Amino acid sequence: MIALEAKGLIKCYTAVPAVSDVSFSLSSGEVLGCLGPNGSGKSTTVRMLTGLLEPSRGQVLSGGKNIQDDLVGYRKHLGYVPEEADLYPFLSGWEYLELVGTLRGLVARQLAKKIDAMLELFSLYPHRHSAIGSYSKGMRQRILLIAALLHDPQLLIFDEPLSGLDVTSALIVKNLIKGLGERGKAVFYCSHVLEVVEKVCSHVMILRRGRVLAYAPTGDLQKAVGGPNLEHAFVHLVEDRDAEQTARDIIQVMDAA
Amino acid sequence: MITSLSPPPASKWQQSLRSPFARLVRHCVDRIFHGRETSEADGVDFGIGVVLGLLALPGIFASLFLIDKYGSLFQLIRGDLDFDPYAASLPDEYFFIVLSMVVTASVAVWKWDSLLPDRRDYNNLAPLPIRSRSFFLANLLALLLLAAILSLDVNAASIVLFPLVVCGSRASFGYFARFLGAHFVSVVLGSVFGFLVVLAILGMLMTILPFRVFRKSSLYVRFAIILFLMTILSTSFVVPPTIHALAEHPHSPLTLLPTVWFLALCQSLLGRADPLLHSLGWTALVATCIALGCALGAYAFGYHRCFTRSSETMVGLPAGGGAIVPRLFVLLDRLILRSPFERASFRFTIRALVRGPNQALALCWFAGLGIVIASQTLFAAVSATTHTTERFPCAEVLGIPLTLAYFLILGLRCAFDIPATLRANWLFRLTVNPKTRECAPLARKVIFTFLVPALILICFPLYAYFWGWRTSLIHTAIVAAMCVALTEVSLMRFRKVPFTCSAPPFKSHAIVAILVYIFGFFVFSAFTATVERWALDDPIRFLVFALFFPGVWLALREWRRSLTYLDKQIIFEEKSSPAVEGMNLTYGP
Repeated sequence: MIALEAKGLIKCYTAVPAVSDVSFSLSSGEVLGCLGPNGSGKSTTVRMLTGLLEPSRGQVLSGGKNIQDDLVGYRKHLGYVPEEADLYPFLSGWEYLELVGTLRGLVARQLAKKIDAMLELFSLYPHRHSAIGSYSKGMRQRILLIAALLHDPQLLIFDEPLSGLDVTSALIVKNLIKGLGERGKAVFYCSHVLEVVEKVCSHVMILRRGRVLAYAPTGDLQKAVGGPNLEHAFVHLVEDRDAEQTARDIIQVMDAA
Repeated sequence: MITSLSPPPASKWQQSLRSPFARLVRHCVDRIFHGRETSEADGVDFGIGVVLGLLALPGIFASLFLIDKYGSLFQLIRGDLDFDPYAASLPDEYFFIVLSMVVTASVAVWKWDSLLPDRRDYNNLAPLPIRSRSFFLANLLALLLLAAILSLDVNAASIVLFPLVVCGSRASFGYFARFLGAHFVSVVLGSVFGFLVVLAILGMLMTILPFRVFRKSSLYVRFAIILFLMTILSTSFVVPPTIHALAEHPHSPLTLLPTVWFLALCQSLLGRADPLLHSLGWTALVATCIALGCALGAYAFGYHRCFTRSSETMVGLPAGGGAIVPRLFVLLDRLILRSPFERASFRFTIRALVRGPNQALALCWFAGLGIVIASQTLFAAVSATTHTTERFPCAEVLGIPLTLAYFLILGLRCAFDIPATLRANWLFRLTVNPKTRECAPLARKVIFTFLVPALILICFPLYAYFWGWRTSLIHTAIVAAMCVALTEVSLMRFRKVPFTCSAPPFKSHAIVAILVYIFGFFVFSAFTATVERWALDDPIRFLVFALFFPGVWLALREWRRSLTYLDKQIIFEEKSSPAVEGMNLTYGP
């Protein structure tokens, strides 16, 4: 069953489009990795998928219906981890999760139990009453992850969810994403970390300058490009300059100074 | 033919302006003006020019309003031929001293968190090869520069206009120059003194208190300072008539007021001071030097604590976890909060109001102003007659709860417009139904949460104790009904979750809005109390209220009906109406 479908998405902030003609579909149980260099349109695409941004053209469909027709209904089944951990610094971790859970209509008693359990599992329970303003980047990221999972959504959109996480937490989240896919959830996963995408995602979509450069099952993409791993495929498709040579040039400029 | 394209060699002055230290000083001035990370995220960051312009405004208005008093034509019309400008200007001089001190100190309170370097400065500057001493001196220089700029800016208009207005009818330049000099010294020193005292308090608290306690107590200290400033501002008309009587009462508490010292300094410079005023004038100079010394010392110690040790103070701040507040929320859930949106947003609003520094400060400012005016009214009423022995309270006494309620409602309404960490509002954008009509009801419930307990627990018992339960019941009912009407009017265009929308732009009609608030205060408080007192003598007169409240209700209902669909949709961004509306036809592949 197709959980999320993008049809010819175009977004123009000015005359120059940030995203032009992005199309893909994401079925239940699939984990779709979205890759692309900086400025390729990943974040704009994600914001359109969450309904935070309205496409200039094209549609985002969920269950065959345009999400703009019933944004509230769509967002009930959506869990979202944004790229930046923008949280309210004056709330404690517990209070923030209570705010999210209540806004999502979860019953108070169940919500409290769920929050406590999640905080315990994400090693945040001892800090539950500390202000978010005093949290480290990794702690904020874990709060975002819990907030996205609290209501057991069918569709999850993760934008750089491993940012700032320590090794153990990152490992947990990687396994979690895999597990979510296996449990039939549809996961859209945006990242710069190619190794993780390779291990976690069933499908990969590569964006460049707002366009889809490649969209295929992870294994198929590697086979098509003919390299040993996803990094090779990515460099082959996206990078138009030699990374090693650029690094050498930088060192040369440093020496000259 | 162009022979050389190389720029002319920079002068020594230009070179020193480009030096790393000068750049550091500029950075410090910028960071003080533009505030901390949180204020940038809140989207309430103003440019330096706008701030300076706004600060100069009160002085301009105050000076211009005095033309009527000092103009020679007006004196001729009034037949006031023995007019002595020096003597007549004493109350106004005192007002300008108070105004300069209050405005400058208020700016220092407003910029409380950015006066000393914080953790962000430490993170950005500590890794750079800058000596701690250099940053210490740069920030100190920036603070002194800021004190000087503010003192001159706040008083810029009055320094020029006030002496011109006062001495305009006198031909002698010496007369004018002497007044200008005395006025300049007293208002500028008053401003500097106000700034330095706030800086000294900040530095001392930071030095003495543990970091956690300092952060928690900061808000209360700022509130106390604002309350004090409001008190001296609102009582500025009481002090001048008693100044020359001070010689007979040298131990009067008035001699402890810093504003009186600076007025005495002005009188000394004008040659109008008696021995007591002369000594008080010296006190002003000594106090300014002491304030400077204290501020420098406190700055040095505070700097050591907050900057050089900021890596050690990265400790978690307690935000919640108590047992009473969550129980209160559960109780309110059962009583008034119906939907998940209301429950979640109500908790969020209360927490942001209490913990958000800008929001709490705005509310404190309004509450402080309300308390000051109400207490003045009370003292005036009590000193005039013995009301408690009368059958009904006088209009002034009846107006006290109305005054407090007016400023509380207005304060809450204004605080709702101040965003709290605007970037984090994506959560509400993502989860709240854009068609929801629950924003105004939510704001109404928050306002009533503050008002209803005050009415039931304070207003009703107090009036019942002094004037009997019947009068108290009538008065409480009228206050409650007026509060409902004012709340409804203040929330007429309210369609946002409090604190989640960008700050409204400074509009050209802001001055008109302020005048409306002032007019509204007199109607809501003084006029209503007068009508109520009139009605208490003959209960049939209460029909006026019986007609007024349904009238307001009907008008509001009609107004709501006239709203379009777009006027009711929830907003997360306040946009000013563009002069020309674009048709947005520029998209395409």
